[in-house]
Amino acid sequence: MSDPGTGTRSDARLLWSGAALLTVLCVATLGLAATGRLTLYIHPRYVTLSVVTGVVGLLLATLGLVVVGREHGSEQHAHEHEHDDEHEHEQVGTGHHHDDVQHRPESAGPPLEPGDRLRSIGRGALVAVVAVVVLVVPPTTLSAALRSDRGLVTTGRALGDAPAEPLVGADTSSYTVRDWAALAQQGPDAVAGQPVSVVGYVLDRGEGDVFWVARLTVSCCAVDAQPVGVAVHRPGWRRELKTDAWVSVRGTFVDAGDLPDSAQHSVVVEPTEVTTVPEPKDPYVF
Amino acid sequence: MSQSVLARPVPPATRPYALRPAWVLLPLAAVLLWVWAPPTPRLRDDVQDVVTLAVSVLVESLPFVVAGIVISVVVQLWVPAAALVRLLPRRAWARRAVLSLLGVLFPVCECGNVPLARGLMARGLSVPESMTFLLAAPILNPITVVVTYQAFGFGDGILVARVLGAFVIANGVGALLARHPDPSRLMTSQFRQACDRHEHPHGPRVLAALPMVLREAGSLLPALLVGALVAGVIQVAVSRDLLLTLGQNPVWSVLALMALAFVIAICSTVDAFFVLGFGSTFTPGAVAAFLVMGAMVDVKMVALLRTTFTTATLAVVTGLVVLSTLVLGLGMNLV
Repeated sequence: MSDPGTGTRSDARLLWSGAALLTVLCVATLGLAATGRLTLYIHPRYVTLSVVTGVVGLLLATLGLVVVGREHGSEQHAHEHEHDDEHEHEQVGTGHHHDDVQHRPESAGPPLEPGDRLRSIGRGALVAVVAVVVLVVPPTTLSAALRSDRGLVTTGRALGDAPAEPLVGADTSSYTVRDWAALAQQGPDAVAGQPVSVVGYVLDRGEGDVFWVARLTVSCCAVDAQPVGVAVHRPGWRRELKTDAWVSVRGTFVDAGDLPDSAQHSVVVEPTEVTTVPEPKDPYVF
Repeated sequence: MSQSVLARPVPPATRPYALRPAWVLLPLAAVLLWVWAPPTPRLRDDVQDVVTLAVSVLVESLPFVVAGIVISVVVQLWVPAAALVRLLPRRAWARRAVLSLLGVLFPVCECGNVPLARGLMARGLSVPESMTFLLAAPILNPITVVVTYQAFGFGDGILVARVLGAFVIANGVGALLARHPDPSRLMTSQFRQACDRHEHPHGPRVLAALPMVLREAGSLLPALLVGALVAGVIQVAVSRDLLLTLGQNPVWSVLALMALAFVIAICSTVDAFFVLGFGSTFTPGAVAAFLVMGAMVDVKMVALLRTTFTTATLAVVTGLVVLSTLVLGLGMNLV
């Protein structure tokens, strides 16, 4: 086991890898926030917290490197002629590679511990992989395959609070699939007769004349994404629509009691218009 | 990834390895890489999903980990060890009981508690005491309790089971660990050495704090990365549908949601809203087991704790938590 004390190789490794990982994650967070894509990963309520963390973390990493570098400088001065270890220190390259690490030859200074070089290379590789994944690979949404593996949420507070204002005369144009799903679970009385216009993806729940227009709802981060949706009555929909395709649905809520095959829903949308649309830039609902 | 971080700066003469000043260019390099990121080929869907899920766990936990690191360093440098000891009761069980309520003061998720617990241990807290804190604090804190109440009210006794279950399990595990002849052996040797070598900082404490922050980040962030990656891989590899078909069985539902809690690794302050979606299909005992276990141990938490505790310790603690949660869940369903 390596000596964990300060001034050792393993200590230097902790310092540079800590600074590098903190920097990379904070720059990625700030970059995502600056381009409005942070909500592809987390709920909007955490955006401010993440941005503050990004700024603070970046400051801590930079100032920390300044302090550590100054200590190195003063020590370098004091030991200039004792042993020239200028070239044996772990170094950062001038480019983007954070794993650009050099090692003291085994003949000089304290003996190189077994596995030491391997640990440094491992850490460097970890930093490089993380940097590529969070800084280079563009963020995207969860795939259709993953969406269909998550069960549709049809009841409970996971749907969120139903919009508070009375529906009669209210402006429902901004209501999402989630808002309507929350209202629809209150039964036909709450929404029957309401005009509705929503965008979501087509979810097939094995009902003959009914498909669901659904979206993923995120309560904390993309890990907990769950689909919510409303039922749409469209006989023969399989001939015109593909499962997982994004669609815009306009229509009116009706009591599903009159329809056959209505075990899973009490209201359905009777659509006047179903058109395929491109995937929205903000595919999740919160 | 488990080296110490808590040792103090020592005079320059004994520091053959430090970092060159050129490392200060690192943040600039990261910014440039982000700005000039070359276009990448589209990843396979399942690989991309693993990336998306892992990064979302990372982005979500980063604020809490950074806050935990900063608080931990502040505790180590500015809070006198004597003050900490004076404030706590003398009797071991009473100390643990008080520590299990410390989450009221630090209402952060489980991952932020790990650096804090490491700082407290460097300040003299024992392994059983810190473990009690780590297991209890994610649940016995105001945010978690309020969110769980918002989600479930007092329905089905889920809130009460979660709060009482966390207190009893955390203190029970602490009491068992305290029976170990030498509890300090439950720590990794590197972390124990770091705690032993407790020197006073030379120079201003602010300057000593910054390298400590970097060391703690260097210890914990790799563990967080591994935890996030494992959580992402398991979620893509294991079919959720399979777990959900077990919903109504009084025994299998508990086991299914415990398995989900272990692999999904979501924050204790919001998991109540997540599991609410399962509330209609799963038994109350299963939901309570999810809420108790997920906050105490999951893949991300185990990876983080491995920086500080030995594998054997973690196996015992995980085993104890799993068994007691199982008893709690089955008890609610069958009694």
